[in-house]
Amino acid sequence: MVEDSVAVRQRVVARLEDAGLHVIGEAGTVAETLAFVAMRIPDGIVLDLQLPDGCGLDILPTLRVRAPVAIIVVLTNATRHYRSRCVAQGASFVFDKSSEFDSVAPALLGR
Amino acid sequence: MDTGSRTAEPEGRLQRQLDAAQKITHIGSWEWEVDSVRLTWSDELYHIYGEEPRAREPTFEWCLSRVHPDDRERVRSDLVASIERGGRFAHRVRILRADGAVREIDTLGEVIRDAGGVIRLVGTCRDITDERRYGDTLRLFANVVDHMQIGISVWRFGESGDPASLCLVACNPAIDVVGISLADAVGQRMAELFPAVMTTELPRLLASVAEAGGVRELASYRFPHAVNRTFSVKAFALPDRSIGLALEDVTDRERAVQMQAGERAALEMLASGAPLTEILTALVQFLEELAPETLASILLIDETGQRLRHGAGPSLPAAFNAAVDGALIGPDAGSCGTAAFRREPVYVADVETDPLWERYRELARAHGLRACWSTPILATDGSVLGTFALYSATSCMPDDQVVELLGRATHVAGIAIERHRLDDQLRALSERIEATREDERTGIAREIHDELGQSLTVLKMDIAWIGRRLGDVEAIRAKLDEMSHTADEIIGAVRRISAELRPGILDDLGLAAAIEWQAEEFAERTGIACEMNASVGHERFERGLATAVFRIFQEALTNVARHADASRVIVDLRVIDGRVELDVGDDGMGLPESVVMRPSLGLLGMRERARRLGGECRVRRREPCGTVVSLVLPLRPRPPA
Repeated sequence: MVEDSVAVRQRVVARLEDAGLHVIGEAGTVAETLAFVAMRIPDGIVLDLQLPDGCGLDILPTLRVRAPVAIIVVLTNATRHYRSRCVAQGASFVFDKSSEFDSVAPALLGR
Repeated sequence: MDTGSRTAEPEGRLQRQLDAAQKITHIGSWEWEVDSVRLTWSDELYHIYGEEPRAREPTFEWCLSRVHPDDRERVRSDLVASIERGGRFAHRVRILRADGAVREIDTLGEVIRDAGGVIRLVGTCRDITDERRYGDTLRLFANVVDHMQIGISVWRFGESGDPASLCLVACNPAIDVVGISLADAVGQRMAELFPAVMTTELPRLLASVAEAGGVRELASYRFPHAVNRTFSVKAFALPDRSIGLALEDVTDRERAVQMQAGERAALEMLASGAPLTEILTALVQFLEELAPETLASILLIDETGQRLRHGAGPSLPAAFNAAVDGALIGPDAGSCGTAAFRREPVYVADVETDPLWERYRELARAHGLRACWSTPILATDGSVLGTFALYSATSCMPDDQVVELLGRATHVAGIAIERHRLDDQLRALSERIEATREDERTGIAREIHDELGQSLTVLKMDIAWIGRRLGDVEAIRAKLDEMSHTADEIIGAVRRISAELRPGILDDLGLAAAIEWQAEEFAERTGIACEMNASVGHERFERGLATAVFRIFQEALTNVARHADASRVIVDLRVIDGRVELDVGDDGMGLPESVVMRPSLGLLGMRERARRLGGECRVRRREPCGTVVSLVLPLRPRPPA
């Protein structure tokens, strides 16, 4: 679970675990994310784009290789341009953080 | 009786003839028997004295009383001496006429001693006052003409009447203004004296004056033997198949006029916004034209105030310019470096011997430069902006003319440089303001987006959380839906405000995506269709460049919405040959001519912004209708991530 806002992260993690998913790691920066996936291979990644040390878009291709099942990108402003760019970079799904929040867990569970 | 009457008759006629002769020549005559008190005067002599003829019988003493007091004693002793000596005498005296006028009289007389020992004096008097005055005037005019350095010459046509037959009749000393003395040339033909002149337009002028009379002028004529000087040549017809020529050297006057024209041209360039290099190059070339056989250069002082950088020197060898570029100023740094250091003109007549040129001697020699006269270009506050220098291939000092020309050109160069410096400062300042503003907007946008937006998102998630755990409590669920809806609205507002301040998409997805997004927003807001053609993909541009293109694009769209009354906007974004190009065209009614000529602040802002980044932004009419805003900016390297 990659998200720089701790408050948001907690809630997303809680929501995912409610849905029966096991969150194996949390990260708030690009660096932490890359360090984590260098050691563990998650089934899926939930990624926020705007991180303090860089843009999630730039690490999407790397993450795609490390987490083959699913990469979910969550955005605070999921306009058409963001969605298509994320998909082009390797995102499996793109959801708006506030309005499509409930779709994240089902997507990861493959339902 | 008969005899008497016969002799009386011719005597009366003689008298009449004598009177008439005296009247015509203004010569009066007199006779004086020295022993007698009285004199006999002719009628004309009375006229000369301003008296009614024969109104009185003049006595010697009365005559003397009419002589000017200063001359009286001289006349008396002259006469005494003449009588003693006998024979002819002559003197010139001033007399006081009855009307008070002072006249100058020449007297010629003779002492006659007859057999009886009687001494008689006979004489003539002539009033020479007017003649003298006329002569004085002539001499004065000749003097004036000579002092004014106007060369006057008179030429007479020979038998053929052809200009080639013109012979010199007379000339004044000032004629040597042409650079050739004509003192011994009287009688010689113009064709021999000035063979080269005969092939110029001058002979035609002379022929036309000879034919039609009047005065003709060649306002700026150059003699083939002295092409560096300019003459005004006036030709006028004279009697006796002759022609007068008045020559005046107008080189300096013409130079002054040309200098004024040059100054005006440079200032006009400045006013119309020409680049500094162009203005300085024009000034340099201008000065080279006016100061023949010189090469000019302008060096500009750098921001440290210690080094001179190349400004303009189109005629100097490029290698010389390159070698001088970046030279340090100092107390012995050639002409320019020293002039900038001392803040006063430094004229070096010979770089081979002048100690100031010690370090640059070899360089100057290699390029055939021998003399260098440099003046510092000073700002209004007295600080040094650069130097203006003239080089000569021969060792010499500048004449007064060249010094003045150099001074004036230096002054104009100073105005241009200072003005451009102020422009640059203003531009740098507004660039900084612009950058600061953009940074602040970005900061605020991020703050709003991240802090406010995230908190609202959290709030919404929490509302959803409660909702999931509520079960079937309908009323509370409905309330939560409302709260959720309100939160959505607030989130939407926060996103909009944030994007307006600084669209995150510009930083996250790049310029093309941001422009496309803005175009869609615009279409949605205004109902004006927006067609986007971008040959630019996801490439990232340098932040300042991307910001400039995006903000200019926004401004262009704002103009369309405000003024164009358009139904369609076409946007072209491309990268060609190291440049970003953006065209925003609409099919509206087009800009009125007044706006094209005197752009609004919005248009000015776009133009200035483009200029700061070394590009340009133009607004022009689009055929058949509407307006196109065209932006071209050179690409800038992105700083390493």
